[in-house]
Amino acid sequence: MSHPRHAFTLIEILVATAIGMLLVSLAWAGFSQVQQVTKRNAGLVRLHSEAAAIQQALGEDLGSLMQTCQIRLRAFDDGVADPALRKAWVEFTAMRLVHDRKGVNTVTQGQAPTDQAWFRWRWDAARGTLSRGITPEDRFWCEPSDNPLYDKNGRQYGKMADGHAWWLVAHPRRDRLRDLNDDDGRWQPVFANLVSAQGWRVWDDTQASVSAKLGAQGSQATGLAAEALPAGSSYAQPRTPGDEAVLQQAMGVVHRSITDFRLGWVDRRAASVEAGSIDTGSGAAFRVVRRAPYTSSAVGAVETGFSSVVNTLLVDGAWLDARVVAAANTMTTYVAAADGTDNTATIAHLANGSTAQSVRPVLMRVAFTLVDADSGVAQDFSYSFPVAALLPPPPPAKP
Amino acid sequence: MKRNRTGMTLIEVLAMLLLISLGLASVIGLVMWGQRLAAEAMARHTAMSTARSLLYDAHPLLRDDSGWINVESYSLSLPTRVTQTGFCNGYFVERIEEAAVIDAALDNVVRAQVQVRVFSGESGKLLSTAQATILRSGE
Repeated sequence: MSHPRHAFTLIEILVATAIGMLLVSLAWAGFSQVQQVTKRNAGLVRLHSEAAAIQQALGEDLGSLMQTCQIRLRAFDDGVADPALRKAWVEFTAMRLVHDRKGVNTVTQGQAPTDQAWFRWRWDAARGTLSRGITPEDRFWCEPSDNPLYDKNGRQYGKMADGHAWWLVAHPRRDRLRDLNDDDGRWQPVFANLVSAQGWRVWDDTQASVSAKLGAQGSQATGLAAEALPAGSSYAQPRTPGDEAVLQQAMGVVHRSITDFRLGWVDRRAASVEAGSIDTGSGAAFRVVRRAPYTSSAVGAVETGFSSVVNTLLVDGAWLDARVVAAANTMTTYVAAADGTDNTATIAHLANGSTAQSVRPVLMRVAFTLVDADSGVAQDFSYSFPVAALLPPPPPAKP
Repeated sequence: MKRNRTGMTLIEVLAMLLLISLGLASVIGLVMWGQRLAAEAMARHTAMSTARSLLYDAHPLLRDDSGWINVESYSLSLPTRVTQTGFCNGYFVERIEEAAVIDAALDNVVRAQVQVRVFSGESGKLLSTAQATILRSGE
């Protein structure tokens, strides 16, 4: 029997609609869940990718850290409530080895693969930005006086009066088994000959007297002292007239969504240094702390003088081997000035045990929190970097 | 017998809806699977860098709620095995350091064998393993 149908009955339409809506609601819930999971996963993947990039960049700098140069660690917060006016940062400045991009080392004229440059990492807490800068790596070459060298800013950078060329060659510790002071033979030639050099700048803003640093160099101290102090400056403040400006100009933002940043190191004695917003028992504040070596199971206690007031820690360096740095001045601390731009007072000189090199890093540490703006996901990251233990090849023979 | 049909039956409509639902579910499943693969690849990358980072550092910079603990105590004067566990970079980490006593002939330095294993969670999947011999100063 045939019975033609031209349309659904009302009941059929209602049933089909109900079932359809049920399926759509299930699918919608599924899609919504997938969307949330996808968004979160995408955010996490982005954060981990960004963290990997930051880790790589930090690792290149921190892993190539020069042991023999000054290291400066700062943390500061003026406490102003208005985010637009607030000054708060964590800053790390040191010197590193640099592989010349052109394949030619301007310091050693291609005979050694590495060069030196100052670098700085700075986290601005108010803006959440992480910045990094590095000086031009061909700054530290001194040539005979008849062939002066100009740096990338057009300034004459150094010349020798007696026709000698000389080299500043990186020689960080050879390995963990040896002290820093086991090799200083490279510095003998020319300090006395720097007296008449012009335009020479030495990033040497330590509290130690020049003669103290150069004690092991004997009579050569006078030469470097005369050259290292530009007119009107002194060693009383940690300032770096020429290089500081260059470094500031070189700073560029690496990341813009970092809500927390801490940086520090572990020294040879397993004592640790850390800068950032740290709670030492009386609430979190931006500060630098140094903790005693860990004992059986825990990180050591904060050393006296570091409870709340220290904002800058300076490890001396004179581009010399550590043994010419007086042990009592190997590590110096400062408290913050009101304007946040400099430091005003020394509160402690740490002898730190028996050897001058004990306070220098063997392991750099960094921790930061990234936030993904799209998904709102946040993730803490923590990385540690062994400091370079390689010794560059010997410098070329004197001309 | 000839049937004259100009529309679908309810059963046909429901069957179609079922097929569409299955298709959508498959698509969702594929998207989720892709997401899992991407997340796992990312996890293995981070886990490897985390493991290598922790090889050299027994006390990384971590928040207090990371749960990073020493299971055993550390000693430079006795043969030592220290197991540490906790969360780092979003993953659960187990770090084991074994060392003999300090060898004065080696400039007061201990050679320690370190192994780090990184898991997706506290009882989760193993993502990465790293091991190395490090020098620990007894100064």
